[in-house]
Amino acid sequence: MTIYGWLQAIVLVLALVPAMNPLGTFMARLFAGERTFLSPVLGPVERGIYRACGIDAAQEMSWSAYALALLAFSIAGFAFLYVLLRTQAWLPFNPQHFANLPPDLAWNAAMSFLTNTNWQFYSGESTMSYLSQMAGLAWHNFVSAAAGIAVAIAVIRGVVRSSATTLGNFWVDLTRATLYVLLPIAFVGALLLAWQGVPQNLDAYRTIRTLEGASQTITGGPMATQEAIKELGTNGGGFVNANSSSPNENPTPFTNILELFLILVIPFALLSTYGRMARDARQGWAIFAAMAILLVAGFAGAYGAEAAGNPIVHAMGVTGGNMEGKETRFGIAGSSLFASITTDTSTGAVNAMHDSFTPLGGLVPIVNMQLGEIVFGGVGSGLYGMLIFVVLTVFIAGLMVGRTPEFLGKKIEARDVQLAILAILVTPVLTLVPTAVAVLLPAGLATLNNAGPHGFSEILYAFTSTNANNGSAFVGLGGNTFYDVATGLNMLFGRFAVAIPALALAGSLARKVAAPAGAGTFTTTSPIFVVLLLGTILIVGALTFLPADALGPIVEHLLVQQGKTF
Amino acid sequence: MPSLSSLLEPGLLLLAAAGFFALHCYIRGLERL
Repeated sequence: MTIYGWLQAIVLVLALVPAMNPLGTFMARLFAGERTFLSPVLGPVERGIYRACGIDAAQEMSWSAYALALLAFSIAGFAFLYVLLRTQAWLPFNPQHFANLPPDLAWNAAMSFLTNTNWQFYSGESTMSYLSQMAGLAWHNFVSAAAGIAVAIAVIRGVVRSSATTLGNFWVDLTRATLYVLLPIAFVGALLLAWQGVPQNLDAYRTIRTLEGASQTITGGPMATQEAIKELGTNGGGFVNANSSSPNENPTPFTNILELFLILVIPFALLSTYGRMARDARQGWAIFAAMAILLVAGFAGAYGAEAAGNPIVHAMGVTGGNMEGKETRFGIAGSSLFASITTDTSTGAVNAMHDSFTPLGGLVPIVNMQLGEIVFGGVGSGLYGMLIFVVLTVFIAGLMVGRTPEFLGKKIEARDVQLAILAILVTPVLTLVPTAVAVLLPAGLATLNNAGPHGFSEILYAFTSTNANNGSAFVGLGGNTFYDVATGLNMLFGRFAVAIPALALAGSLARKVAAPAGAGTFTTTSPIFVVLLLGTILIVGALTFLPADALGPIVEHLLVQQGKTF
Repeated sequence: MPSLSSLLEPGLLLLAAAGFFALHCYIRGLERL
């Protein structure tokens, strides 16, 4: 590890922290229906959308109506994208004349993008027409992220409201998140990326002759616009197969930091939004502290393992860290930082091949996702996932001191804990069970590129990533109908089987009356609470995933020390 | 008799419908919890 490597992380944080409170305050005002500096420009557009869609912006929804609206919107989105991908050959903006996607691939991609996962069993540059990229995938990049923000805002309302039966209006929250938050920032981000050299055109690919006389195809397309929302919405689906390791998508060290900034800016700001909506900024900062500790620990782990390198390579007389699968323009630090942040935030983007990381370096992305994508997490989903852990932590703290647990003055009762546990169990059950099924079936092993523990890690990573709605791949695992269907279902339930109990929990909390804090109240802003929250997250993760991780990256690490590779 | 491959698309669409319906039932079930 070097000081220059850590400086990249420090520069990123120095850029993010000043943006956190202004954007967080903006979102708190926006979702409260107050006037913002963008209202004069975007207000008429927003009202036009409501008129066109027949939305009564003043009509609030119960938690179940909110969840049903989210589900209805997702069903429509799935149908639209599936039809688009199955018919793209007959539609415009297809200069490469790509064929329609086969049914299982279109099905998997539609599930993937509607759930904000962006798992890709295809290479975008040789599969997707520009129309599919722009109107299908980029559309979902915006609205799936907006849906995540909407659910997070509804959950915060449930936490902070008293004696309320409603959590807001899903359609209004969705529209505002898209129009006021995602579109303006993505627009600026796309301009910066295009300035750095990311292509933005509708031209056919060009075939050129290189200086060596070989023929080479240069891909093009509307990449900058898609790249910006790909990161801002914590989506991660690459325009090209090599994703952010491609010079097209991520050409310079500056764009590498810019993309990480776009990934983290909304999850950071939502903590400020939460603090403001709770009328106690310390509530947001306490969660920020827990998330930041986990993020730094993950980066340190990945960076340390990759900088230490591979002992088998060292035995050949080659010194230094592990550069296999990494871009020289990013190096070990830039690759480790990208890997740890994208897997913390449910962004499926990669700028290096995680399959080529050392076993312990590869373990970090896996663990980050197994924690439930709550280390800043996906836009919105990270915050509501963490608030579920907060409820569980408060409950455990209550058991430890023998008092009725309270969260922001509200008593946490049996039903609340049941809902929290239902949401928390989704990650281990929907990761470990499909992994076990896959290793038992010939179809599950048919497309593996590696044997032994590394092959197991590839399967474990696939189901961890799809369930956590991350979308990054370990590489080495090819697609087939079994994986198309299994990962597709995993993405669907990984997204909604957490969001639905989170909304139900919010609905339950909203109905309660907040009592003022007393002398015996366990505060959720103290360092002790942060430690307890971290302990709860790590113990839940360790208890559920350690055996599976031991069979994959951990045993591979031990065997690599003995000179064995897979 | 239809081939297996010709059944793939309707099967997948039915599966998606079943998945969404299960989530709908999940919401209704949690309402009663």
